[in-house]
Order: sequence, then C-alpha cells, then structure tokens
Amino acid sequence: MKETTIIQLLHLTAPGVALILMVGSHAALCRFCPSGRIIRLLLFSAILGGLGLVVMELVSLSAGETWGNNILSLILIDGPVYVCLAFGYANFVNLGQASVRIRIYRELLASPQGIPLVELRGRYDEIGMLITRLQRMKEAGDLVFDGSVYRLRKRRLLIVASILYWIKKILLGRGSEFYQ
Amino acid sequence: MSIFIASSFLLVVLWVVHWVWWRIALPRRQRPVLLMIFLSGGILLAPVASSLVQHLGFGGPTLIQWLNVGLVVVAVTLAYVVAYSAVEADSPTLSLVRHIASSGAVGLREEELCEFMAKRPFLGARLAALLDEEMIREQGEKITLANHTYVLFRLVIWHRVKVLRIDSQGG
Repeated sequence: MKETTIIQLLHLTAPGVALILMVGSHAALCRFCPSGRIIRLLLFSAILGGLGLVVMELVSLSAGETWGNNILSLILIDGPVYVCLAFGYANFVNLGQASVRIRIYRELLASPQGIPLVELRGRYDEIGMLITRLQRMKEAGDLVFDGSVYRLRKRRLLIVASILYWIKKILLGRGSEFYQ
Repeated sequence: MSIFIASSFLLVVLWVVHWVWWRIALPRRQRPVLLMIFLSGGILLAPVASSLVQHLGFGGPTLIQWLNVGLVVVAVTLAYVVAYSAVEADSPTLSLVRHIASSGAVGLREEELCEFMAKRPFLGARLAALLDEEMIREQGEKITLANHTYVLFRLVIWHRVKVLRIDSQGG
C-alpha cells in the first residue's frame, strides 16, 4: 500500500478511534464512579478521546506525514469531526437524562394500559418543573436566592440561551416555540 | 485541503437550502427532512464540489478523501440534528435563565417565575409533538403508546440502562 494511502486512511479513521475511546471510557466511568456528575464524566471521557486523536495524528507522522499537513488536518478536519461526534454523543446521553418526550415514553412503556392525561400532567406540571430547575441551578451556582428574589449569578447558561434564541430567530423567524 | 474545501462547500450550500426551505414552509417532521436534505443533498452535490476543488487548483479527491468528506458531512449533520431539538422545542431551564436575566439586578420572585412558567405549557407542547409524530395516541382520557418503532428512544434508553447502568430518570 502506498504511503499517502496509509496516511489518508489514518486521518479517515482517527476521529472514529477517538470517539470509540470516549464512549468506552464514559461507559467504564459511569459503572465505576456511579456517583460522579454526568457532565464531569462526559468531559473527562471527551478529553481521553481527544488524547486518542492526538495519538492517531502522531501515528500518521510516523507513517511519513509532514508536521504542517498533520497540524492543518487536525485543525480543519480531524479535530472538528471529533468535536461533532463527541457533541453528538454527549447530547445522546443527555437525551436520556433531560428529554421530557423520552421520559413520557418510558412511563408509557411501563404502563401498557395507558396513563390518564390528568396523572401525566400531575407528574410533569410546570410548577414542579420550575422548582426542580431552580433547585438544580442554585446548587450549580447559576442562580442566587436571597430569601425573596432569584438573580442570575453565572452567565454560562445565558450565553447558551442567547445563542439558541438567535438561531431560532434566524431559522424559524421567532425566538420561542410559544411565540407565533 | 481538498477535503476541507469540498466539505465546507457542501455544508454551506446545504445549510442555505435548509434555511430557505424553513423560511418558506416549516416541515411537519423537521428532523427527518433535515437528515434528508444534508445526506441525500450531499450525495447529489458531490460532483459540483469535485469540480470546484479541481477548479481551485487542487487535485480531484481520491476515494479515501471522498470517504473523509462523507464523514465530515455526516458528523456535522448528526451534531446539527441533535442540537436542533433545542431549536425546535424550548428548554424550560434556558427559558427561565433568559427570563431571570432580563430582570437584571432587581431579580424575580417565585410567584413571578410561576406565572412565567404557567404561560409556557411545556408538557402540552411535548404531548402535542408526540401526537403529531403519531408516537402516542389519545384513548378517551388516557394516553397510550402508538404502533411506532421508536428506534431513537429505545436506543437512548438501552444505552442509559444497559451500557451506562443508570436506572433513574432525570429531573
């Protein structure tokens, strides 16, 4: 096999190898550290996957790739592809945690005879959702409560919310599903 | 460089197609249409991308480089489709954060937040989406599962319970 073909194959497989490392290490971490915070475990496994990507790039260097081409390919192709795959996996994991639709599906799966709408509304009422979220954001330091009012403390969620708001405005022409 | 140029060209053109389509008429099933635009559109536009790369003075991509272009398009598409669920449906947490931030240093009382949430029927919207996608059905006063394959939902739950060994549901 020609040297350039081997190098191209190494670049093609590098993000996949990194993703396998990330998924595998995440599964192992979840089993061995079940009390760990989901976001931390995901971040740690994403870093391990990233190290795998760097190792693959070093392998392609040893196969005859130049430093310049290797860095260019890491920045323009292999790195962004791995980031997209890792982002997709992280969101896939988060779906099982946060998606109301998947939680409703699980509840219905456990009750094949169906669930009364009133009962479902009771389990997912907006006030219950509000209390859970306020508590979670207080614990994470995103909000502060002085006994009477809530104020924003960290801006990280606001940045995500603002980006999504503008994407919605550009794509859908409205900033929220509840505005027409 | 030819991989970067070909994949960037494909992604930009396909995103513009998606944007124009969405502004003209929002599809009923948005995510399957998105996948269709990016994946089949990528294949259809591949010859144009190839001529662009050659026109710019780079050699035509080899088979392995085409596979790499395909990987870039698929990876970006999957990440975009996954992220799109946050565009399609509002997140209760992020909606709250924006609302609290809009009050500035004054802050908001719990009653004001309750009022804000009451105006946003998140459960009703999710149920309506599930009904619209024919994943659940209303039988009198009850909600039951419809005959649907639920591939993504099953995969998410299987991965959570069997692979990650997390049995609890999120909050």
